[in-house]
Amino acid sequence: MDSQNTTPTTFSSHKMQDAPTAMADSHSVTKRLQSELMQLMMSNVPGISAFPVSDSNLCQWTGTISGPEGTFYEGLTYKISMTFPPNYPYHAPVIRFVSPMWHPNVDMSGNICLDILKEKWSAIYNVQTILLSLQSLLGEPNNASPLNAQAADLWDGNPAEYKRLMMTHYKDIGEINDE
Amino acid sequence: MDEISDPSDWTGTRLPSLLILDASLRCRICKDFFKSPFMTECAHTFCSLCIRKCIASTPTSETACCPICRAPVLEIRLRRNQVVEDLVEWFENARAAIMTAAKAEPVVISVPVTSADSERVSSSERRGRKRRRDSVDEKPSTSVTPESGDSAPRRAVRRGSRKVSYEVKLDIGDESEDEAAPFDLGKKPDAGSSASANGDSSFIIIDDDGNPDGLVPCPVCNVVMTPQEVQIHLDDCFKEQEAKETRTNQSASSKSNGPIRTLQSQPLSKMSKKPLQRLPKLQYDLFNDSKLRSKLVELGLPAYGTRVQLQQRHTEWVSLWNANADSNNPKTKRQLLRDLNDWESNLTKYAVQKISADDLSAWGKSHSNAFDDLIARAKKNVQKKLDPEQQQGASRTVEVNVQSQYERQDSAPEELKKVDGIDQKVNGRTEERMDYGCDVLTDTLITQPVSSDAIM
Repeated sequence: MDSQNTTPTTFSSHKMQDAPTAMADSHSVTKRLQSELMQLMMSNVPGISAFPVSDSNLCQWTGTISGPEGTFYEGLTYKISMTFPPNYPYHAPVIRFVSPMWHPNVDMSGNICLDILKEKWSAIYNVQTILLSLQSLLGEPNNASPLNAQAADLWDGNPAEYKRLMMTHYKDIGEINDE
Repeated sequence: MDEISDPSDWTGTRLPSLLILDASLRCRICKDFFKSPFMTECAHTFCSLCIRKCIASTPTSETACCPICRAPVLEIRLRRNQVVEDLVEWFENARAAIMTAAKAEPVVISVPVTSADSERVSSSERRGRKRRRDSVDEKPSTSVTPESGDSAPRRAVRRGSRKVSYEVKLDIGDESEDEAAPFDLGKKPDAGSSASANGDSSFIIIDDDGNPDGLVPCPVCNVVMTPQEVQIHLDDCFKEQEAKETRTNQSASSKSNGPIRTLQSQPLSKMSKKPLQRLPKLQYDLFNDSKLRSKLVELGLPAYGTRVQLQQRHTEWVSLWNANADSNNPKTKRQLLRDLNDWESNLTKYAVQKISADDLSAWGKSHSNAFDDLIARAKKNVQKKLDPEQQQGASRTVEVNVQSQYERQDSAPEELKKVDGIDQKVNGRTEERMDYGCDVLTDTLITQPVSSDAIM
């Protein structure tokens, strides 16, 4: 019993030879993104994926989101781009839909209106939480502050027309990659 | 990618529950182990530098809020979290050793048996552990055969006998060895090369090296003795070693005249003569350009650039400096200046680096081999981690999870087929079974809390 209690303190006194590497800050962005990539690949959440565009620049990622079940977007897959600022995670990454996206909170150039990517950003958010938030945004738009007013009107007013218009804009991810 | 440690490293080892410990000792901002952990008033802990930079990145100090719960945070109200700091220190030191031990084959202490026998024994042993963890009712271990009536199978029987009453003679030495294992392993790194020089990933004493009675070496001095004796002996052994180190430390500190830290068991650090002072934040509105410049010069910082650059540089410096003052091993000012310089060049590098989409896709194509390689390696790691779990056959709880995963994901494979190149490779190359297995292990532990954040 005695030995168990003394264990941690004995340790702390032995440390320190290899400790001065603490706070290597210069590569904190890269390091954090690497660990996010690892977490993303290990957890393997269905319906979302993301990967750096090149291994020389970890600050530019590309990702995919599958439409959630039971929404207009079910069975469709969208491509997004993620650009991480050098002061990430203290500032939000810039997320855009690369695939044409017809949705109340997405404009025609793919810009997204989502509070957690703007003023509600928090340093603990990560790629996975962003992708999951975007996925749920597809099923639950914020129609109170639309970027696409027509979509916001049709969402409740005329679901059939919504689906039709949305599908006229949809492009398969294969086509986008070929462009 | 190997140098990045991750809580998920524990999945698939014999100690998957350490994933939670590992995850809770990490800062939610930098995803690394806490460095000089500080606690907010809302009782959330972050690295000193992380939370300071976080507060500094908000437009005004009134808008600063806790990254986790959004409660208002004031920098002066941050308090050091000493317990967490000690925990991290201990865990980081022991992590590698625990990891090797957790990945190694189970400890088997036995008299000479044929290799076929020992294989059977170890697999039944592993299953025994797993069952105990999941508290699933099990039939008695099947591996008790008359010809292998030595200590190892006896252990297997003991585990099985929790549910079924078996007439088994329990052996105290066995028990204490079992209990002592984590502590012994934890102490291993401090033992320096002595224990690891054996090349053993854990204290496996197999009969062929001539210790038929299950003797184990002391991880510090490597003297062989019985497990009970190691417990008592280790205390003395460590005291001796500690006394030796204090002597050397004392002689070192008397040379440098360094102040002796009051924290019990904190080693003497290479602090400068006087304790580091915290830098105050500036109200930049009250400073015109030239005043701000002279302020930077006063601090020994570069004073070129636009006003925005000057402000950013000063803010970053205050965060770096104050976090460094919190550290147990503060860096020199020269090192800090280098960090500041790195940070600034990083900022400008990305500002200048505007890569067009064409360049990127061309680059991606020409380097697709590297990506394939990366993905293959990652998948291999996953496979490796999963192997032990799969071999022993999923226990009932896990099976239930698998079931629900399949149900939930019924439509998923279909969707995934449409996903672009990278994803196709990821899913196409590996068996579905493996992918779901991975989900089972990590989903419940990592994804759940994270995804609830998304909703918040």
